[in-house]
Amino acid sequence: MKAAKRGGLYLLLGLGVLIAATPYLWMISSSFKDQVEIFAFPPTLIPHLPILANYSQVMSRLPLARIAFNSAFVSLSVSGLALFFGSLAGYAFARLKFVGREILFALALFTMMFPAILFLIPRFILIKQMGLVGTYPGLILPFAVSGLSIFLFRQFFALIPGDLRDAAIMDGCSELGVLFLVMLPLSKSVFVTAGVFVFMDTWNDFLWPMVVTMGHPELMTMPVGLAFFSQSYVTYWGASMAMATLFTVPVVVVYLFFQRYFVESIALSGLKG
Amino acid sequence: MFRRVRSLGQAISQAWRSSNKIAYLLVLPFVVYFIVFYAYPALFAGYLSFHEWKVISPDKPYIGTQNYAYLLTDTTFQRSVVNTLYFLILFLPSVVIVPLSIAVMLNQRLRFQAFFRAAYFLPIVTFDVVVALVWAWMFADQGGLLNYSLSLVGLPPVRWLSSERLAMPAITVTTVWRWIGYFTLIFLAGLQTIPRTVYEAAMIDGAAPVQAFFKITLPLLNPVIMLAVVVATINGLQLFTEPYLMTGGGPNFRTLSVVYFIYQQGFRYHRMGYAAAAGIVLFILMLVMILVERKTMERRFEY
Repeated sequence: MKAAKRGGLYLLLGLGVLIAATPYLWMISSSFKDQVEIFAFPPTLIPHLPILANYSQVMSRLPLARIAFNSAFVSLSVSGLALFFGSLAGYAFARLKFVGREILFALALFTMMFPAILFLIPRFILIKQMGLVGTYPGLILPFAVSGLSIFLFRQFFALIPGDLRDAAIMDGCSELGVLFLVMLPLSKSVFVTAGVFVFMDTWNDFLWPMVVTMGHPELMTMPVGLAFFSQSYVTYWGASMAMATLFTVPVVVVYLFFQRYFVESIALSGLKG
Repeated sequence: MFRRVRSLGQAISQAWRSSNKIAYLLVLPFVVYFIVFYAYPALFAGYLSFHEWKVISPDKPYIGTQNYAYLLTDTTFQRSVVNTLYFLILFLPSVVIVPLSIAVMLNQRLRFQAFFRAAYFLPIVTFDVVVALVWAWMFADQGGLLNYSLSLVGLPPVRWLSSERLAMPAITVTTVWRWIGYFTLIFLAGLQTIPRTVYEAAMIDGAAPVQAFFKITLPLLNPVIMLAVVVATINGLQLFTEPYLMTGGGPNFRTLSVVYFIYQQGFRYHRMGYAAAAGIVLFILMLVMILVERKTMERRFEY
C-alpha cells in the first residue's frame, strides 16, 4: 500500500518532469533540422540529418554578440543601480527617524504593487521628450530604483541589533560611515537575493525594450532580437529555434550552477506579503 | 485658533529637528525616481487621456472625456477586456492548484529531490519570448508536436492557434507552463514554514493525510495563497508577449489582450491619448480585482 503510494507519487512527478522538459527537447531538436525534416510526419526526436545551417543563418543575420552585450549591460546596470539606491533607502527606512518616513515607505511598497506597464504610454512620451528613445539610459533609468530592493534591505537592516550602530558612532564613525563600513558589508545576502530578482526581471522584459529600441536595432536586447527575428522569418521554425536555443542554454547552465540563489530570491519575494 | 496653529508648527519643527537629516539624503534617489517615473507619468496619463494626442500632428486638442466615451463603445476594446478576463478565469485557478499540488509532492521526503526541483523551476529562467515561440511551434497546425500527439491516440489534427475557440486556451496553457515553477517555489517556501510536528500531532490524533491537507495546510498557507492569487492577477492582466508572438491578437481579435490593445493604439496607430485612457481603465481594473480578491479570500478562510 505504502509502496504503491510512493510509486504513484514518483510517477506523477516524473510525468510533470516530462511536461516541463518536452518544450526544451523540441526546441533543441528542431534547431538541428532542415526545412524538410522539420515538417516530417512522424516528427523525429533526434534528427536523421542534423544540420548547423539554422545556427549559421541566425549568426549571419543578426549581430548576436552585440545583442547579448546589450542585454547584459542593461540588466547589470539596472541591478547595480537598484541595489545601490535600494540599500541606501532601505537603511534609512529601517534605522533612521525622519518626518515622512511612513508615507515614503508606503510609496515604495506602491511601486512594488503596480507594474511599469500601467505607465507605458506616459513613460514613453516622457523618455521621448528627454531624448532618450534609442539610448541605453532610456532602457535603464525607468527601472533604476526598485521597490522590492528597498523592501528587502529594510527588512534586513531592521533585524540588525541597534548596539552595532551605537558602538560604531561611539568610536567616532559618522552615520554614513556606519552604513558603508558596517551595515553594507553585513548585507551580502540581500545584495544577492535582491540582485538576482531585479536582474531576472530586467533580463526578461520585452515590451519596454521593444518600444524604446524601435528603429534602433543596434540597441535590441535578447528578447527583442528574438521576437524581431522570428517575425521576419515566420515559417523558418528551425532558425527561430536555433536562436531560442542559443539564448536559453547559457542561462540554464548559469541557473543550474547558482540554483540556490535563484530559489532563495524567489522564495523570499514570495514571503514578503 | 492661532495658538493651535502655532503649536502644530512647533510640533512639526520639533519633529523636523529630531529628524535625521542624513536620512533625506539616503532616500533622495528614491523620491526623485518616484516623482519622475511614477507620480509624473500617472498625472500625465490623466492629462493625455483628455486630449487627442496624435504623435505626428503638432496640435493636440483638449477633447474632454471623448476618449473614454469612445472606449465604452469600441467593440475591439470591449473584446480585449473580455479576452483578458477570460484568460484570468482560466489562468488563476491553474497557477494555484497545479503548483500547490506539485509543492505538496515535493515537500515529502523524496529521492531525486534536487533533480525534480531543477526540472520544475527551469522555466523561471527561460525568456518569455522563448517560451511563447517554442509553444507556438508545438501548437503549429503543420509539423506541430501536439497534433502529432493527437494522431498517436487516433484523433484528427486541431487548428489550435487559428481557431477562435481554442486560441486563448492554448495561450493559457503556454502561460501556465511558464509560471508553474515560480508558484511552486513560492508554495514550497510557504509549506516549509509549517513545522512537521503539527502534522505528526494530527496523525497521532488519527487525521488522514487528506484531512490534514484541508484542515492544516490550507488554512496555514492562506496568506501565501492570497499573495499568489494577487501576484498572478497582476501578471495575468499584463498579458502581452504570448498573444503578440503566437497569434498576433487573432483570430478575429479572440486573443487581443488589454495591454496588446494599448500597444496597438499607441505604437501602431499613434493615438497616445486614447491608449493612455485605456491604460487608466486597466489600472482601475487591476485595483478593483486586487481589492475584491483580498476581501473574499480574507472572509473565506476565517478560522
